[in-house]
Amino acid sequence: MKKHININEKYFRNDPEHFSSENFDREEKIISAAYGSADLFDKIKICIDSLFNSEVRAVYKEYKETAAAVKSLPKVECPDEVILKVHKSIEQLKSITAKHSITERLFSGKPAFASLAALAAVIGIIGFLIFRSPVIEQTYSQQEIETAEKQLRYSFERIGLVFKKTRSVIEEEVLPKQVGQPILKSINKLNDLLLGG
Amino acid sequence: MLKDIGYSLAVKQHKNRIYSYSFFMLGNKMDADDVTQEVLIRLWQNMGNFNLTAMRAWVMKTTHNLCLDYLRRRKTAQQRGVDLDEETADLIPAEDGSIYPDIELQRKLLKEKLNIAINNLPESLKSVFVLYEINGLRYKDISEILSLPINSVKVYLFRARKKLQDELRQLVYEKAY
Repeated sequence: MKKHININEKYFRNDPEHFSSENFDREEKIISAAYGSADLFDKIKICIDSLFNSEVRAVYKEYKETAAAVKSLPKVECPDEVILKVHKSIEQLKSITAKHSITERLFSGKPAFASLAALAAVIGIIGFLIFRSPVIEQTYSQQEIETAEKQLRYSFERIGLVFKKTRSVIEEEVLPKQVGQPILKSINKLNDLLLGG
Repeated sequence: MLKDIGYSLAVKQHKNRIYSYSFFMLGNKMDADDVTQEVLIRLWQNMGNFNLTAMRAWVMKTTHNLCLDYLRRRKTAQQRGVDLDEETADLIPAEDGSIYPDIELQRKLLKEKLNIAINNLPESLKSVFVLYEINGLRYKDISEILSLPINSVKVYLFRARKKLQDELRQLVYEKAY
């Protein structure tokens, strides 16, 4: 005797976890057939069953209508402005990565590049330290310059006075008394000796 | 140069799939826009890290993970009392006018209900359903994207279809009474 699929209303209300594997299999086949994803043998079997069983027919029809509605849903297309925004973001990313790639090539790229870059940097720093000529620019006000000139003039005057005093001491005291007299005495003594006095 | 050409082709190939998936998963255009942008930028950053055959799986996996992040954030925001602007009614793109206004209206209503029902599906079921029914992926691809065994994908799809039917019945019942 032909065994018809017996679908109870509870199958469509309760959680599928509670179904037996046999019921699950039958129901799954009806639904798959309605959605068109069952294999050919199952499709034929369900079609025949639906001819003889009103419950199967009703369920099959119900699911078939839903399946048709699902299949006829219009395709949702991505708006163009989304793609434009993506391209803008990518352009920004490109410019950022281009900036990074220069430093990356120098310092985190190949070892030869890295060592050359490091060497160039060291030479540059040393050269700068050696050959730099510190130019200290100092600026003075007019008043400061005048004061400095006055102080210089005063200093020269003081030095001039000291030299003048020293000269008079030498001429008036040191040369006649300390040098001239002993020399005169020596000459007199020499004269006495030569004349036989 | 080659990267740019490859990227343009990849965007052309995947943009609608990414957008459609995030649109159905998140239920509003704004978040779908953001997720699509994020995925496409990540795709550019990772160009060359995977071959062309693995690209679709990578793209969809990234999209799925980002959608989950958005949903988690949304849940947190809702718990904090932030009112999110849902645009479930806007889910259906406009179609050309029909010469039969009644039929067109019925179709529109059904699609609206369908979109609400899809939106009401739990995340795990919704992801499998959208990938299979809307994006047209195979069990194997879905299994790879969601890191699930193929049998689990089949069970999830079955549950999703059943749940969707329940949701639709519920919506019809609510409308009738």
